[in-house]
Amino acid sequence: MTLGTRMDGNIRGARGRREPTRRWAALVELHHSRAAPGLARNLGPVSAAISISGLTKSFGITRALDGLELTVRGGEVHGFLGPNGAGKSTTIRILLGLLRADAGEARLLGGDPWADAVALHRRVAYVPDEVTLWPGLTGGETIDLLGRLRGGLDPARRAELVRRFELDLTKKGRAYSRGNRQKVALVAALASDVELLILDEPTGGLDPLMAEVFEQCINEVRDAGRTVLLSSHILAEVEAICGRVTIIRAGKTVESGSLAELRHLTRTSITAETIEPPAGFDELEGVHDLRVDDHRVRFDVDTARLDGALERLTRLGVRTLVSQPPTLEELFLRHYGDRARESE
Amino acid sequence: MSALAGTAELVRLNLRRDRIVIAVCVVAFVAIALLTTSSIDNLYPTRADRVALGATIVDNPAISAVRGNPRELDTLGGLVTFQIGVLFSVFVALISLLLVVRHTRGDEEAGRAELVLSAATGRYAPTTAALLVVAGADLLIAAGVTLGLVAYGLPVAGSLGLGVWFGAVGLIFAAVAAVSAQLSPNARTASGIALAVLGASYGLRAGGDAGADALSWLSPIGWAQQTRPFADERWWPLLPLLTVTIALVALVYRLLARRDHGAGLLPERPGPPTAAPALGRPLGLALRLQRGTLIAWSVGLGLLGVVYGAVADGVEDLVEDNDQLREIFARVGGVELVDSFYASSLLILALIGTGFTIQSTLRARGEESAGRAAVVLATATSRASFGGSHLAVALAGSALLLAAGGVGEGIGVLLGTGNPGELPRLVAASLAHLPAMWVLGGIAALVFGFAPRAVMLVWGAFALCFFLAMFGELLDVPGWLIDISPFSHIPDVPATSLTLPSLIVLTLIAAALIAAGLAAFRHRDLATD
Repeated sequence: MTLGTRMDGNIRGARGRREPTRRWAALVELHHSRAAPGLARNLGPVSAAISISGLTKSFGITRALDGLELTVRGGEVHGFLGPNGAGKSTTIRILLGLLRADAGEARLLGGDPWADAVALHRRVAYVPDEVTLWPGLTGGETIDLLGRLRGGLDPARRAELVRRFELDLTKKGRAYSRGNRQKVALVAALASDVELLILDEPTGGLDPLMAEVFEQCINEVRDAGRTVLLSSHILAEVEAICGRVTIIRAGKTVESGSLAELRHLTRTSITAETIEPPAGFDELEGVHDLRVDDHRVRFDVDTARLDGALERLTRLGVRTLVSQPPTLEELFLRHYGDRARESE
Repeated sequence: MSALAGTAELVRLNLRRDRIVIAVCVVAFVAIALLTTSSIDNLYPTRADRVALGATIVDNPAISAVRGNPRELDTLGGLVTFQIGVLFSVFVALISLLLVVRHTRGDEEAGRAELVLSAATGRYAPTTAALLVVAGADLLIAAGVTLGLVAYGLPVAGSLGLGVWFGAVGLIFAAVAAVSAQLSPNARTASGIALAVLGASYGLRAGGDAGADALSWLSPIGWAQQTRPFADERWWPLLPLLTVTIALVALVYRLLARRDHGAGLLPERPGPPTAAPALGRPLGLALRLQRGTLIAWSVGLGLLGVVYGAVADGVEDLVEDNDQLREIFARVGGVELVDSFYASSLLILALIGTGFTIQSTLRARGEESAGRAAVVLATATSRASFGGSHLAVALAGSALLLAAGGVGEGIGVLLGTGNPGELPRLVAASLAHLPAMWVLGGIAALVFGFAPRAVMLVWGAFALCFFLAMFGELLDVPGWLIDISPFSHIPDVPATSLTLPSLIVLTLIAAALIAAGLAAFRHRDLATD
């Protein structure tokens, strides 16, 4: 895998990184206080729930997918990341037999997603990126309908999910807000007894509390040995619940690996106030975007070089220290920031 | 006035969105008016020709109930008015009400209006802009028809009368739609309410023209008719039309000032928290989604049938009292006049009902473009089962509609004559049109399968069938063109006997179209917009 060299090139090319937003940073902190999610599970069952290779799809002259690769192992929560228009939804629609691939191979639970659609869909639940409900059907009716069309619904789990997502089942589809429409689709998917959940940006309309409930639910799904493909551009979410991720851009896979593998190549942000004026950081290897302001110092450091930077800080005497863990946002910005600039 | 801020911009936006629809409508109305005029002029150049034609028209009171009371049929203008007056009224009203709902409740339901109102735009601006644009379109149609007929050489007063008639009907139904858009939070329901008013106006006028004059005075189309273009033009009936229009618009603004954005006046009731057992299969879903539409159409066609049935009684009297008619009747030989009335009125019911067949078949496409089909097809539901369910509702629903129309007409006859014996005959004769409706459903299925983004074309096919049935013979359209319409191959039951072969062939054609459409749907990408 050429991951290392590619990432290196990107890291050197990175300039002008943005601060992660406050909310993301807070969520990241929250999750780091817990047990490392998902990582140990990578060693679990390795039979592929989804395997895609060389997938190509064009709409007219627009090439939506251009040789995409994606492997999701059974029992894992797999993050499917990419900016808007990267081809995430197109890939998912091909996996669901809604679109037909132009070239390449796609296998879903060992079957052909187009030819075996109906049989496969008994084992799959799907939440679309933009949930549109039937305007005249209530949320409860919609959940039951989708569950029955999939081949069955666990009533106890349905009731529990409705309670946890605080969903009013008696409202008509047209009366729900975006977040509540998403909850309807999520409850219908999570209450179905299926092997694989395909979730296309499922939390866009959820508030942070409901996003938290969603994360708990996905963790339970994983503990039950089921597989999840979660497409997102919310990095904190993917980081919190996914064991492995695949990053795509312009219809191509740019990275794929476990979070540990990817995080190893990212940087940590350090902001510190020192007793002695900070000096000498510019000589340290792996330090980027250094800013010194009186006794305050702020820099990013390659996570692999963190040790040396901390050593230098403690020698100066640390008054305050804020360290932000590497987020996938950095990875994202570096990839798409750089390549977008190159292609301009 | 700040409540109207932004109206000018929204007018421009609406014009941008509807420029093609409006242009096509105006051109089509003027073109068909001129085509009708020149055809009648060419085919019946002398007064004697026209008198003879007028006699045959009076001979067929079904057409009279459908098209309004004939006046001055010995003049070209009178014949033109008779041919297009009531029919154009319905179409102008239809376009006006659909456009108004689309730009008021349609945008509000879709959430676009919220975006617009969050800008420096007044609360009344979207509705005002919608009404202005539709009023402009109605006036264009009025002016176009007037100028076209005057240019052809028809008397100015009559041409103006006919043009104003269309414009006034368009305006009042734009206002009706603006009111109905306040009532329901659902655009489909809002259009349905306005359509029901249009249906009632048409039915009341039909009853009025069939003899019960008082009924006509309850119908806006009846008022417009009373302007009597090319006969003895009267302008005062425009007064109630414009007064009611203004009153309705005033009501719209009062309602707008009181209600919340996105809400209707009819309260939204909570529904069941769990689904009924039937709602667990694709067919159950299709039935549930189309239930309301199907009931509304059945009731509408049933009521129109009652009107036609009640009118039928008068046909006999007409013949009894009229020597000339009795002579014609005798010459046609053997055919009961009342049966030929039944045949043509049942054809009209079937043609109208075909609107449901197409709408219902295309529901599958509506579900697809809204993104809901993707959700259903991501469950263990096959393409055939999804498309087939909506088609099944369309095909079976068409039969229900025809039965409702036949039963209604039977009840009408019972009310008019006290004779219950016609009912079974009428139901059977009505159902004979089913294969032709299915062919149109098949065309809709075919376009849905092969060219899902072009489904509006199906309405063109529908308009062609309607046009050929209404104007085909009169305009001396070539036989091969008339034969394109499946309705041309349905025998005039009960006036003539049922011929099974043509019905079987039509059914087979429908089956082939449906099979091809569903097969294409199974092999294509889902196309969301």
